[in-house]
Amino acid sequence: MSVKKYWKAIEDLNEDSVVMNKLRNNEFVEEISTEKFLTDENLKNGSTSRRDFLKYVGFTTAVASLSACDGVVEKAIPYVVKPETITPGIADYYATSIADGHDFASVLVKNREGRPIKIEPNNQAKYFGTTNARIQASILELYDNNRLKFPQQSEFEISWHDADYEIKTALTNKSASGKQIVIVTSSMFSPSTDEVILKFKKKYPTAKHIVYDAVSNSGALNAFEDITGTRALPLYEFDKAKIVVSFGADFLGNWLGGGYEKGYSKGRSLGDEDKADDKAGNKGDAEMLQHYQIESVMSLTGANADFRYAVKPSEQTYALIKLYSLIVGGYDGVGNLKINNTVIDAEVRQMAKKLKSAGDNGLVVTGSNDKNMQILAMQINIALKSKAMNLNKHVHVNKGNDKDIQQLIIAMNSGKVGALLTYNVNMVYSLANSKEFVRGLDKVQLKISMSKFVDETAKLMDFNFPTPHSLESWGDAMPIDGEYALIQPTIKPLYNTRQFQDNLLKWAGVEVDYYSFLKKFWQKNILTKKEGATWNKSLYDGVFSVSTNGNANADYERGLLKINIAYVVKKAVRFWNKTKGTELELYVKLSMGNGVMANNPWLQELPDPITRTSWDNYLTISQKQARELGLKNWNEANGAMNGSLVKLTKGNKTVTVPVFIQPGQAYGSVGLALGYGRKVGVKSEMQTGVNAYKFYKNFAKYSSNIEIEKLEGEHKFACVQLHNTLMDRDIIRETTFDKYKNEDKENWNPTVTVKTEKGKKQVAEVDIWKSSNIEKEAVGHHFNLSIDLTKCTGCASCVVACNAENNVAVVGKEEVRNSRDMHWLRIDRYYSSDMTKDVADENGLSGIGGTAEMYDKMEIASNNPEVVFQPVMCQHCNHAPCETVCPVVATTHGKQGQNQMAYNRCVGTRYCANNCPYKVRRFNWFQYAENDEFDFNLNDDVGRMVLNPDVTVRSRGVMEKCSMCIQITQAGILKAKQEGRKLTDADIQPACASACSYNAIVFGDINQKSSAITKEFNSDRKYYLLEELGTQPNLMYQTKVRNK
Amino acid sequence: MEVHKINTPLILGNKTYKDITDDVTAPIKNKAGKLWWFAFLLSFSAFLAGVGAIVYTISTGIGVWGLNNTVSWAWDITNFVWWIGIGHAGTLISAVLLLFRQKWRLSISRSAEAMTIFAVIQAALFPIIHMGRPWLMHWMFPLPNTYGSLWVNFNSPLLWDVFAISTYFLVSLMFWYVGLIPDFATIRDRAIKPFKKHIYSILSFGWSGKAKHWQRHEEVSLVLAGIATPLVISVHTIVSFDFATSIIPGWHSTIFPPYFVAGAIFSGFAMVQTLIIIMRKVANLKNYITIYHIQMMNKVILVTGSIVGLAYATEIFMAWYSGVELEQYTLINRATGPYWWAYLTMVLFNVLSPQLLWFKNLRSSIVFTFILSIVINIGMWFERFVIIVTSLHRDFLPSSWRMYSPTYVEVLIFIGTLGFFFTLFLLYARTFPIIAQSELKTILKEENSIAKNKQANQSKEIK
Amino acid sequence: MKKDETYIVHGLFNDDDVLINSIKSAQEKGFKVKEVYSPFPIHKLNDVIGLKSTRISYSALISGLVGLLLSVWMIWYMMIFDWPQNIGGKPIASFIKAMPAFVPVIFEIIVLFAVVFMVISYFFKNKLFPGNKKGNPDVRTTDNMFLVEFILNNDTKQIVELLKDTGAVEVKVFNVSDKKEIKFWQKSAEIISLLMIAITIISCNSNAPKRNPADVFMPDMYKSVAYEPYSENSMLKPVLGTIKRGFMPYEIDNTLQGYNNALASLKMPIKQTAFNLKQGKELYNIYCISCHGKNGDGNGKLVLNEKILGIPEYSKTKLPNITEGSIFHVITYGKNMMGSHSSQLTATERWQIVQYVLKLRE
Repeated sequence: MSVKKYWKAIEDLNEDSVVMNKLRNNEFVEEISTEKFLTDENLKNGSTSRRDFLKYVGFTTAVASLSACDGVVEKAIPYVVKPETITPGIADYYATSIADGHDFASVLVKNREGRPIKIEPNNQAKYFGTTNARIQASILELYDNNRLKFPQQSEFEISWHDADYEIKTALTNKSASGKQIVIVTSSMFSPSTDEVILKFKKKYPTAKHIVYDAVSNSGALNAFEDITGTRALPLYEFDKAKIVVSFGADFLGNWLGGGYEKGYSKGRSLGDEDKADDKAGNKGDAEMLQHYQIESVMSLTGANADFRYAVKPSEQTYALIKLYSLIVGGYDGVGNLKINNTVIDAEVRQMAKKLKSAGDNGLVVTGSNDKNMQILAMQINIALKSKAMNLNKHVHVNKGNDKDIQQLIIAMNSGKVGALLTYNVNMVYSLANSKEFVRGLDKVQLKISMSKFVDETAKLMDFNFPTPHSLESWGDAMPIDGEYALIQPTIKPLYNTRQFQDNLLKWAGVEVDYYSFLKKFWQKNILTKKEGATWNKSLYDGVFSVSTNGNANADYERGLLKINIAYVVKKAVRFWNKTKGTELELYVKLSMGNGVMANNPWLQELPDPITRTSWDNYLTISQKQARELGLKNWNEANGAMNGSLVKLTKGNKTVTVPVFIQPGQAYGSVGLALGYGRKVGVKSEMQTGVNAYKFYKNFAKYSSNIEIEKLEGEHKFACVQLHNTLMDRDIIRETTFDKYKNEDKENWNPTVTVKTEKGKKQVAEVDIWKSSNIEKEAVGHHFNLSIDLTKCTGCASCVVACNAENNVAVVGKEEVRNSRDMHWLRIDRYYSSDMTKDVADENGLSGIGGTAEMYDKMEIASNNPEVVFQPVMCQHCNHAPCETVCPVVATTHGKQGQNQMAYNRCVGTRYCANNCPYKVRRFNWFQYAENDEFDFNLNDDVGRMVLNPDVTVRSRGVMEKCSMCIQITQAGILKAKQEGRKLTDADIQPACASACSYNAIVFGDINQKSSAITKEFNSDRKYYLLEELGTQPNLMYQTKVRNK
Repeated sequence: MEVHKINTPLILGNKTYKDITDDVTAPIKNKAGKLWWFAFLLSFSAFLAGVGAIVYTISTGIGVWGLNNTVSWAWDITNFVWWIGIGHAGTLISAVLLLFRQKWRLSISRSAEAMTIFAVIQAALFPIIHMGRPWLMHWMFPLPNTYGSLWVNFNSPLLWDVFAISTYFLVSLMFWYVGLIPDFATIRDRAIKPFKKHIYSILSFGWSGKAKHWQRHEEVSLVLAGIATPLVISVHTIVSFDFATSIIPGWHSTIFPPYFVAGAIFSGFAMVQTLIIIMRKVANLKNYITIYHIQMMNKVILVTGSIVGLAYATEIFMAWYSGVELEQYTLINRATGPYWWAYLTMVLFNVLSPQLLWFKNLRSSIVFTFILSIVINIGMWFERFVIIVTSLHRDFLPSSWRMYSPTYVEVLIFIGTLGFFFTLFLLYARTFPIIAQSELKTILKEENSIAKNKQANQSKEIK
Repeated sequence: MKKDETYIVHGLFNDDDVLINSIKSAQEKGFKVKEVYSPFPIHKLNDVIGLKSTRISYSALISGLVGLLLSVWMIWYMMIFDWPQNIGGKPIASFIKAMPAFVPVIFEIIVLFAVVFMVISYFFKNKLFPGNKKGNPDVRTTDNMFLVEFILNNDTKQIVELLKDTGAVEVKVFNVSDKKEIKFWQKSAEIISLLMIAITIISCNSNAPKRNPADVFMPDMYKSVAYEPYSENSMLKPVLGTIKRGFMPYEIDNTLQGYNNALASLKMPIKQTAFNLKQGKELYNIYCISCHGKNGDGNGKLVLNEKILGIPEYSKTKLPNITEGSIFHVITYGKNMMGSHSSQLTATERWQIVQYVLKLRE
């Protein structure tokens, strides 16, 4: 018998070879262990700067790509057993809800091959069927690589089985010894979860459930409880109001849990929303909500108001009391306070007059978290019999109770709390008295955190249990009485996570998983409320509503009598009586919210709609006060904005914060956004801003006696708009409601003309190519997009939606500073200026010197400016200047009206960007995907799951821009063709249009007369941006109308 | 012509044919001096630094420059236009002046043409490296490709540039080379070392100097000059189309073609001045490049400088006259906006400083001319910077108004091209016949007699 | 000296005027000047030795015209004919209308052609090319000397003396009758044929079909950064119990009890229409026919080929105990040998097939 021997190398034949023996014994090739490599001290000492790093990356990329000329072999791997519901390459939609404790929305989730890639609003939902920027961005939180991936005990991995055993034992002990078991959660309005908690309480009788909202609405909840006896919020329906007076209520932002966009939009829709014929002369019955805003920080709501008064918080209180006395009457003042002396006395009188005449069409709201203020506002509404405040339908999206939290901290410090279970709250970060909380935490024996991240709070806990994202969870919600919503997972959990409810059920000894529990609970308790309701249908719809009468017959006016108004006013005013110095308002940014999503690069890079600054929070200060204190904002040579630093002091708390000079900020007040300054569980790039919760003492939104001291040094802002005024150019057309209604179109939206030697001519007449152009053909589809500037509030959810749909890269703070933001859709914000051409004429500014002076002054915004927003994306010009200049035909015009970009063909001369009058083209200055230097979602394997496979991720050196979501229109056309029907508007809604909660963006085929766009196309308000250039855009704007 | 015949000879020192040959071939025959080595090493290291910066840019991305979404062109295209402009003087001197039978061109034409070619090389570099994906630069040519029948866009001024610059480069090169062949033959015939002889014999293409060949040579030179004249005007016209055909206020202007051509000649002559003033000193060519030559060029500079000034004024007038507010704003912003210093530099250096040339003693001062030539080139660089950056940084929508400042990479690349340019020029000065000696010999007798007459006249006057 | 021998006489001068005078007097004597070598062009000389004016400039004219035609054709072909695209709304159907934009390129191509071909023909005519070693007969003629060349078959004495008398610095006489010249065209023919061979070799190596993936030059966007369908790790399954839009799960279980349930109580939710029936037939012919046969008799292709056996015939007589509900149930889940068809067919499509099957049963 012969033994065959195979040899691998010549060396192998030598029996005694050392090398071969060694190789033979080591079956696997030894690699340098990552740990060894990373702990190499030499590496740490090496100084690799950013530029060096870029250099190395670049060189290796270049070398690799040059050598890697061979085509990549890609394998297609199909499902072995194809799931019934998935067709690879076709998107599916799941109806579900996002509830993260701060925001709530009923949404449709777009899925590809079993993974969600985009969130869209669920239009079937009567309430909360809108998505704001944070809801849109929350999909990226799902794919956050920083999430906690397995259960931990003191930072070490533990199995669920072991953990359950330990916790059950510990809880039983605590319960037996009579110590409190406290569950702290964010606002949860889930009926089934309430049931789960009940079960838990049954098992552990000392258990207690406390709801904690980082940004509290306790004031409104308590006020409502005082009036009606129920701790909830009234349902505000802005579409039913004709006049709204808001005292610092940012109801287009985060006021009382949000969700008021649709109502406001409907109220502001010029009354022509449902009319087929929108011709001039038929505007007699047009109506428009009139909006007054009295506020200190310029909020999104204030920016959209018809009348805005910059008034500091204390004066707001006086003004509200004044308004109360004028409307409800019978009250003139208390103690030393002379309420006749409000700074906006005349204006308040005017408002009172208007509100009175509007009667039940009036609405007064306040953003204060002071119960007494809320009582005053609600009372005015009750007195007006306002239709817009529905006291009978209760809203439950906010449940947090400030008192409970303070009591908990006391209880913890006194050692009464045996176990603390937190879910989805980050109290160490967000409590003003977080130090006391941490001290109390030491005295709690069992500390369990259930959270998606190891955040500031979780870090101090014994057990960290990862919970799944909303999109991986089952659940339900009842945001409003009778309005239910379901949450279904749209992806299998990415990590070893377990839902909060599952945990409680397990620990309560209920051996059933939460999904079955939920289904059973619904079948038993909720679906029975309506004839023929099935679980499947509800899950399919995502929402389920039951008609309830509530307590419609309750007579609140009588209940009100119990409230001692003099006492309420006294309490409201007491806060301000000792006021000295500057007042501080803490507000919440549209992008960052309460700070839970600090690790979300889309939100970090989303410019604030008002300040147009991303990656930061800052102290907003009025121009006048900044001048007095010698504070400045200035631009570096490359335009990047820098600002002075100040020390902000309130009592014993100080913080160093940059100042942002904000036109429209009330003199004597400053503003600071909550939600920034996260440090734990957040990537270093995203540890931005300062923690303002420090000053959120007793959950008071306003505080006084603030000291500001200028410091040396400067702060680098990432501001995307360096220039704030319109320079008196015809970019945004604006008119008053009165003019719009009564005057000829030419008076407020004149036809654009061009001066020629033969007098003024219309733009089309001076075009060198006569009407032989192919784009005029009415064959096939021709897509147009309209943006209604009256409805657009600048909320920026379209920007995030565009990011998600089109795989737009995040570039980081440094690159934003370099003015290289990649957003395909930007929302320009302009302030009015005191200097206009008319003013210049009056002042006799003429000649070269005078004109130069005029332009100089035009650059300065007014102290309390009017604000306009203008979303600008590619205008898809029929006569596109960019197309002509591309040497390689990388950008051409499509037959359906799009200006198309062939990324593959682009060589990156950037001529198109230069020649674009709208400056909407975005260039890939670096390789943004799969490049460690840009460590955002495009650079990690999990983060890349969010990418839309229908849209190419652009490489370095390539120009990109808005494509009018051509992947969506093409898919829609195909779908309609497949189903053998005509294209409908619903088939082809681009990301921005479907994300717009205000219906400001309308998209459709102008060759279809039934399309919604046709109406916009024929509207009197239509105008084109820079029409005089003759670019013939396929995007139109609708003149902004203010109800003045 | 008649006047200068009496007054100013173009060749001094009563040279003979042999003297000319000796003088012209001297730098090739002799070893390089310390000064040459110093200059060479300096420019070569600048060149290497530039190469490093270019490699870094291409390997990392254009993001290492200071450009942004609004100002997508700045130093890159500024440098491109500047170099192309400099290149223009060479062709103009040899072609246009040949057509006008200006004999003073003879001593400087060779170097001016060399300068053209070297400058065009620098210029051509920028359109390539400023691309986002320069490895695809061959897509700029109408080549069959993987996209089926996708060709290039003949509407694009950038494509016109591609054709204009490559044509210009090839034509200049041929023009230059055709003229060089007889002179190479001279060096070949005087070379002693076999290697040198071999090289120059290859370079001289076997030139023999037959009467028929000379006849053809002259004919070809004339026709080339005839063709190169419209070409040289077309090239900068086309370069100006990059801006003139766009819609950006400050760019969109019909005055650009003549304005750019004048500017190009202006800066080109300034660069020729810089180079020949150094060369006449270093290579000891004072007898061939005389004060008269320098004066003549200064006159051209004065004229073109005044045209440029007129163009600036016309721009301002047109902005006012057209009544287009955006145009007016752009002009006011140039002068009083954030880049006022660039505009001021441009006006001072380009419009005011050449006006000093009205004074004859300044015009014939070598030191002044040298300084002025550098000042003008700085000024002309700023002119392009002003046109490109100040027009872009504030255009239609104030929301996208931005600022631009360069990074060290851009600066290094610019320095690198200067280094490359001077490296080439220094190498040229040591290896090439720096004066078109065969042509110069045709006027030697005439010039000698002028010189004699002049001397005689002078001595008469003294008597 | 023999009569049939050829002599070359070179007269060297150091002044062009002297040279011309000398040539003039030689011509008076009847000598024909063969060639003059000079360091620079002497204009007067052309008339003296009777050179015809050169026509080299015509080559510029002709090649310029060729360039014009070629560029016009090229641009027309690329922009108008081959792939007309809407670029900035400019006219794309007519060359004439779109022409203003093409003028610069056309002009540049004309210039390029004119110059390149003229210079090439100049080189060609002057026999100038790199590597040409044949220079001037005397090295000094590129410096300061002028050389006049006579070729004579007989006595050279007279001319030598004449040259010397008229100022020649030096006179040389060569006997060249033995010399063989390699003609220029022979040399160039060699070069050209070499080139042709090289080109042929290079161009041979192409059209063969390639089995490997195509080479990619700088694969910038070649591989998707997003996870694509059918790629590794991208194919996830939906979570059990979730319901997507446009899809309602079939609520009866895949058990015997479920089957009986469907048999007894499941009713068709769609209407009996001609359209549904037609769709049903089409789908049946795609998905069912291969086993169940054209008429539902269980004689499909696969059965006839004996790949699968035991397919029942579902006519009313053979299988009386099935209902629309059970048929749908079976299509959805499969039964015995039959697999589930739920992933291929939507519920509506299954019901359409049910309609058709019911018709076949009759």
